Amino acid sequence: MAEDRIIDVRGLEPPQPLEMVLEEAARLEPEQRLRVIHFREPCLLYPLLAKRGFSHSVAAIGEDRFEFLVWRKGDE
Amino acid sequence: MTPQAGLSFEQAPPILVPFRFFLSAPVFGVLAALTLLWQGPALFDSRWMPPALALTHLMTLGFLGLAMLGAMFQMLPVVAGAPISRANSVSLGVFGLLVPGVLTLASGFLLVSPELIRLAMGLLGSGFTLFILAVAVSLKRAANNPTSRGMRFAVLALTVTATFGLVLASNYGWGWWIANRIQITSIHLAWGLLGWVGVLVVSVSYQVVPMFQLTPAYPKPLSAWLPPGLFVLLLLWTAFTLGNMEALVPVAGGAIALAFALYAGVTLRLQTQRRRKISDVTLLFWRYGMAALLLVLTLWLAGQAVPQLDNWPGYPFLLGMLFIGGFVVSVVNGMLYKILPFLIWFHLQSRLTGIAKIPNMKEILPEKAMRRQMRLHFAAVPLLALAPLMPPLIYPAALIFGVSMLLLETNLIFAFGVYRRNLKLVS
Ligand code: HEM
Repeated sequence: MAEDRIIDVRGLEPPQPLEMVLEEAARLEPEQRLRVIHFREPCLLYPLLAKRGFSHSVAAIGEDRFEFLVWRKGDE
Repeated sequence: MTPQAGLSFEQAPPILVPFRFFLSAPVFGVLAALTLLWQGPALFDSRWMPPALALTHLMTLGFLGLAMLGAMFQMLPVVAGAPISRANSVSLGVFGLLVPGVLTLASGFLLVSPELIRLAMGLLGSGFTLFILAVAVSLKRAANNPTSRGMRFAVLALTVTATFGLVLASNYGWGWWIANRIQITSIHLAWGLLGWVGVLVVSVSYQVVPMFQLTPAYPKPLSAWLPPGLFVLLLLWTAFTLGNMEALVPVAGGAIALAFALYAGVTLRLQTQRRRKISDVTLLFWRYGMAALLLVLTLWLAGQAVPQLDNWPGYPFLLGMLFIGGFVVSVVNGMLYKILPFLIWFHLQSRLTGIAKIPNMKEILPEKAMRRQMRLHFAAVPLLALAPLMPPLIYPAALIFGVSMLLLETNLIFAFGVYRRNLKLVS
């Protein structure tokens, strides 16, 4: 399994975090996952990901930090 | 914040659910400006005269009310994880009752017509009942975060405000002159401005300030305690007011003022710690709003100490212009400039992917147009605030304010036009 690709979108102004996740997700290699570091849960991103055939799960929640994983459906 | 399991598309409401409110709000600002121009300096004769009441409600129920309801329809599903069921019908129903309701209330005051006031009572009463019930059902399932908890308190405050508002309106509708009308008006306006409007701005800012202005989060104790704290203080203040405990009323009032001052101070401080240093229109609107809030709180405290100030008939107008025009209109205006383009981007993104390039935020709402409107607003507020001192200033103040609201409207319509044009590419 390929190593997770990690991106930190905390310094970006909306909608750039969403755009960046969508772009990076599209570039994932087979079996690879994207780990996103955000400062809050991006609820509006999930439907956009689902529509493009990606799944996600919450990876870690901390003070001012919210991490989640994205992968292609069928890759699990 | 408890993470929600995958939010489905249906949970992000159709674009018109919030947009019908957002796109109509500035029209009421224009109507308020026209009322000012029409009435001229006579408006300042007394805050109890019907034209003053028409003006107040065109702004509080019309401009602010619509913008805030639109924001709640959008944010309940996304931030609180609590979609309103049948959002489109409910939003249409609330909108269809409140818009004519505000218009008839304002015309009822201006034309001194008991019939119109009674009609307005029916429309506003049923519109708010529908909204409050729908939101109450949805908030029962809401995620337990400071924003959704704050929204609960804000909606409770709206319920108190609307109830007292209807009681007061019945005075005009049937003419039975309730004995303690002045007391009831104070309670009505305190719950309206500080409870409903104030607590909602505070709760929403926990989300939108860090998200759009890239600041650190609000300190946890503050975000958790401010809305319930303000709510309890308002309850105490109301009990003291109704119980005629003259010594205690200013104590509770002072505590409420300090709580808001703390909020303004923290917000300004967070804004100095932004991750991105470029200033933008929304940031400037918010700074301006917070400065106006601090100024109005100072003036309110000064009025408590100096009876001559408190007794001056222009004083409530000064406070009202600064609180409503300076503080709330500024932050709402600033937020509209982020929320609208963002939602347009989002809805296009979900419809157009793979079909066409999605326009970016600057293409949806050009910076220059926003700046021009912002400058007018920044010029209008001091003029509006000074007009009670120098009544002829009302004319330039109202003119500039009206043009600013008109430009806000055209800017929002421009953005919506970008959405519609791009959508045509799909069909
Ligand atoms: C169902 C909705 C409402 C109705 C029917 C209503 C009705 C009234 C009436 C009849 C008065 C005049 C009291 C008097 O002269 O005896 C009044 C005063 C006032 N209301 Fe409302 N109101 C409503 C909602 C609101 C809301 C939501 C706000 C604020 C956010 C608000 C803010 C005020 C203020 C500030 C005053 C005092 C105006 C002044 O002193 O000139 N009202 N309202």
